[in-house]
Amino acid sequence: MNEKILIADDEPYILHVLAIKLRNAGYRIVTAMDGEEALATGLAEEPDLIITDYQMPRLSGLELCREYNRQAGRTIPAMLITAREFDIDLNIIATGGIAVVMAKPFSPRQVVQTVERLLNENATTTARI
Amino acid sequence: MEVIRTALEPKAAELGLELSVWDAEGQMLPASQASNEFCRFVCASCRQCHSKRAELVQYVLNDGQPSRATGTLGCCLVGIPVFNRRRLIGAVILGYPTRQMGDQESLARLCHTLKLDAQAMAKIAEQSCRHDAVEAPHFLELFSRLLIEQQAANEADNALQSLSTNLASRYEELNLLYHISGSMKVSSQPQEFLQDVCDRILDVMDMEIAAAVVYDVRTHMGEDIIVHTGEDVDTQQLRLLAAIYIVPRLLVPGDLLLENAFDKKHDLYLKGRLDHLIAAPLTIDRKNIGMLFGINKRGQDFDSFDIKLLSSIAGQSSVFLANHRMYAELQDLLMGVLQSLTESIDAKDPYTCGHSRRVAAISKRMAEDMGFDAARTRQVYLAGLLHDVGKIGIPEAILCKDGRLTDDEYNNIKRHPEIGAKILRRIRNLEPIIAGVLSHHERLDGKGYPHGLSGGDIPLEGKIIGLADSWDAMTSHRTYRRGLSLELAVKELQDCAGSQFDPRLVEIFLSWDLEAFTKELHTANTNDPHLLDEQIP
Repeated sequence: MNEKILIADDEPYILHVLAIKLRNAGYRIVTAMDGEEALATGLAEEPDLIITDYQMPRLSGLELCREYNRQAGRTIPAMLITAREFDIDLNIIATGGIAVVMAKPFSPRQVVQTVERLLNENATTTARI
Repeated sequence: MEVIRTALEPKAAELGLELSVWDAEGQMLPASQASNEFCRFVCASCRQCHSKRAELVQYVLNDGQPSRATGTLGCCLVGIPVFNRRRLIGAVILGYPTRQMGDQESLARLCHTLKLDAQAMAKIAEQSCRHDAVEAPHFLELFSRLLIEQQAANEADNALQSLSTNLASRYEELNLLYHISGSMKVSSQPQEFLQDVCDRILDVMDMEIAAAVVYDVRTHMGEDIIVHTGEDVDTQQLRLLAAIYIVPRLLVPGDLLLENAFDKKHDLYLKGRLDHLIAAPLTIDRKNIGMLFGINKRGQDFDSFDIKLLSSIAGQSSVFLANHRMYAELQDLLMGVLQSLTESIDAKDPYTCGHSRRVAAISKRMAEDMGFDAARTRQVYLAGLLHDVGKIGIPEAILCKDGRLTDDEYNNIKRHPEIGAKILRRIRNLEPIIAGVLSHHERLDGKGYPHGLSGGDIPLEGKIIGLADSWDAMTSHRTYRRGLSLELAVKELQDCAGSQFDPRLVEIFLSWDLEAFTKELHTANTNDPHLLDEQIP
């Protein structure tokens, strides 16, 4: 069974661009347009990886990952894609199990490669790309 | 919810249904006038209708499921919850007076209760009460589906809008990068290049001010460059901001600066107008030589899109600056070599000290007066400077001989234009000036050398240099003779116009204030930057 990825961003174009690219790469995709929706979707769909924006309505990307891991009782790899990469403190981000921080505008190809890597190895450190 | 109302209202009106739209708090959105005429009359007098609908909305919102109710007067109410991506965002209520309400008996009762004119209402009811209570489930089903479709359409619409807006921005950025790559010609001046860059990023990044600073201490390209565009601001203030605030924050290669809440204690910069600041270094050989920066993005913060774009443009600009500096250094090197070459000719023939430089200066002015463009004028100047370079190949015994030359000796001297052309052929950049050097001893009447060309066959450059050469030879003092007086020299030119010289050139030349010009020529410092700081063609 192909891995399932949850993508959360309040900009529909990001969802579309990532969904198309990752679907073509063979993943199953679920999307959400805010943190709360993403948490509900995540708990219902049990994804293998989360790609999330940082600033979203109702629940930030970090809160989403922390909450998901807490409520689901397991930690899944996550990557943060944000336009405020310069404001991100890696130490804080690591508490949400977020392994990669990527600044917008991103290369969709690089996202796919990163997803592959994260799913194959269990990353233990947090890094910027 | 507003979008939903706009989409559903016409459909409801068509079916004779009364639509109201409610938000998630159970508040009704301001309604337009009832479309159902019966409702308009009845509802206007019946306060209970609204509370009945509000009750149904509460029920639907709590339950998240569609539901039905009957109004106080027997009208049918259908409530449907509205979701947007799993979240309940409100409800719509459809209501309609049933045909039963239009029965004579019930209508009469109704009109009596509401104090309405029963006869008038009977007519209205006939038209307005078109449905039965049993149809309510169908309407519920129909509008539930309509809502789902409408929601999907809205979502697609939003996505398209978001995609289009984003695509437009990315196109704008891509176009900016293309433009900058395309305008990186080494021949353009850094000042102009950076000004263009600032103008363009100001627009694309939507900032109040865009600026660039390049420090001469780091580049040795002449002087500090500081350009800016956008809102009116004192250049000195930008210089201060750059030197005191930005430079220390862009020390290590790869450093970028982005501040969205500029500390107000720094309000010495730009009189406190500074809220957002973004900066990327300009570098040569991995050393910072200045920066590109932007001030106050309109209406929002700078984000990673901005800093990525700015740093990419700073990178491109750096490549331009590095190329330009290398180009300038090559220019300097070539000019230095050419001057050494010229001076070595003049040194070989001490009687003609400064002759090459003066011929170059006269030729340049002639070219300008002839309306040559800048590039061709430069070529004429250089050809003037190097016209006698071939004398390097002539024995000193002949060049410096006192007294008459034998025919052999004279023939030897006549080889210098060809020797010069041969020497210069080695330098590819000097290709365009060879013709001028080669033909500066040709005469209009065909009696010149080396090829005996006449009239129009002689390149204009050659004619110009020939005239300048003769003039300087006539008017310069030599150890063994004084130069001709200006009057005699002018007469000589006039006499030889048409045979030796092109009359057009003579005319132009004689229109100058020759006394002042000749004096200037002979007193000018050899290192006069105006005369010698020329670019290669």
